[in-house]
Amino acid sequence: MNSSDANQTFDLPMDLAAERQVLGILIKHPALVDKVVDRLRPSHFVDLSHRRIYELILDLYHKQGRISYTQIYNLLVAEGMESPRELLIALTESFVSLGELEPCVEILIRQEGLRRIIKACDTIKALALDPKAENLTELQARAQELIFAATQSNGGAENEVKNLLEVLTQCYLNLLRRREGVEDAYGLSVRFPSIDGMTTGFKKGDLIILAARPSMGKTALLLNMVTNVAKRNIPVLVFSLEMDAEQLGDRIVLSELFTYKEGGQHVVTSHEYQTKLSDEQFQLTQKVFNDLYPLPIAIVDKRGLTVAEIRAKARRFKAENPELGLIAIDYLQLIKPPGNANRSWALIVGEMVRELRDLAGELDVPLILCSQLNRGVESRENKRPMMSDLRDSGNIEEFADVVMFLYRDDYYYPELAREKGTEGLAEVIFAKQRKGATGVVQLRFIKEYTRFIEETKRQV
Amino acid sequence: MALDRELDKTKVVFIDTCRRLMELGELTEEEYLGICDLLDRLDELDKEAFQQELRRISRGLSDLIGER
Repeated sequence: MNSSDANQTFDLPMDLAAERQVLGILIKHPALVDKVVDRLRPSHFVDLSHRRIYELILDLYHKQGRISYTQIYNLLVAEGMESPRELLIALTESFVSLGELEPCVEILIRQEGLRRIIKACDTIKALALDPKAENLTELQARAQELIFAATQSNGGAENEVKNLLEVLTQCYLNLLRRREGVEDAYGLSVRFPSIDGMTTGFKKGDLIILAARPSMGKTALLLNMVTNVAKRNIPVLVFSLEMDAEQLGDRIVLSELFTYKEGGQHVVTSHEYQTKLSDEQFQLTQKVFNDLYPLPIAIVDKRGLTVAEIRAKARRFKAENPELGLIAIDYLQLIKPPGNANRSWALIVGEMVRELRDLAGELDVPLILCSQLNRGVESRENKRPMMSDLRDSGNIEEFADVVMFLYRDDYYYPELAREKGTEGLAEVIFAKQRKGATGVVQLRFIKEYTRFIEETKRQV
Repeated sequence: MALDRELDKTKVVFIDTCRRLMELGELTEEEYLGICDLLDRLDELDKEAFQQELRRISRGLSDLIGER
């Protein structure tokens, strides 16, 4: 390992003094490693010797070993450095006070971000000037991908190769956050306790399939979950390929109106909302509108979008709203397949689903994808959907992290449901959970208000 | 803080010197590791305890740096 600065490219933004300051402070005050470990990576250090020292600090931190000049000295010697003396002396002289840590960390993070952008621009330029370049649309998509990865705060492409130390450090931090009861330590809660109980929240990067036969309430459940998430000020992006934005808006308002009752009666019925309201009803509805206005829900209601278009819009939205917490797509079969595809429908759908799962991973958010089940379900006596029902439409289940089926008995047997008092009873069947158990939970569907509510008896 | 810096610098120089002494055969590996441990615990020891410990780890080194 060459400790001199000569091993670096000088035309890139860097601050070797700040690198030394950070290392000097961390070796002298190891307790401060806690404050930087979740945002400062070895790649933030340009000087390879500095980078290696930071890796050794992380290694010692993780093994709960003593972090000291002596330890670092011996580890460097063991790795073949002839004498780390001058390098370490430079670190002891690098800082005056602990207050320098935070500004220096910020400098290193900023400069690494700048280096990523420059690197992405260089790559894009090389791609664009290549005489054998791909077609323009593909080139634009690739350029967008590179810029997106470069402008992600977590380092995008640089994180493709993760060493176990980085992975376990993150696992350990997550463990601590769960132990301390930090609210977002679990996945994204959709505020249906039975669903959250099964999933412990939808995890970032996961693809969640919500599948059912038509009219089961897929869109309603999706919108209920979206609204619940947005009520916690978490931005949500909805792709509605079937209903237009106003239809969705009306559904959201209606489902909120369900909660207003007077003397056991709903103040505004669905019919009244869609026809004419009294002054009192209008006032209440206005209040609901006012409550809903600030919710950070964005809707794309353009029909016939391709996966590439969905990806481009989602990337742009994420760039403008880094706090994006959920993407919802209603629904898979309405996504336009690629024009030049000369393959079976199942293969095309499978590929679209895989690309959407990759999008969830790239944007680091859960993505809920509604899917319609074909009539095959109805030819069986037991009409509860099964995993095999997805297989006809490509290997959706293979790529999904969670598969939820929505099923209502009263859809098929309304008379029987009325007799048994199970009208509106909906089953959410968790047929697959990569990170959790399978099982069934119950909700009640209030069709008039397109609203799902918790059913007291939860576990079937 | 300036004193702290000087102390850290001295530790680095000292450990570097000890390693060279080990390479020259003046210190055993066991003595060297004992000295490393002692330097890491320096904050916990007063001057007298440090001298005592150093003498215990390596009489030769203790004599060399003039501690009696």
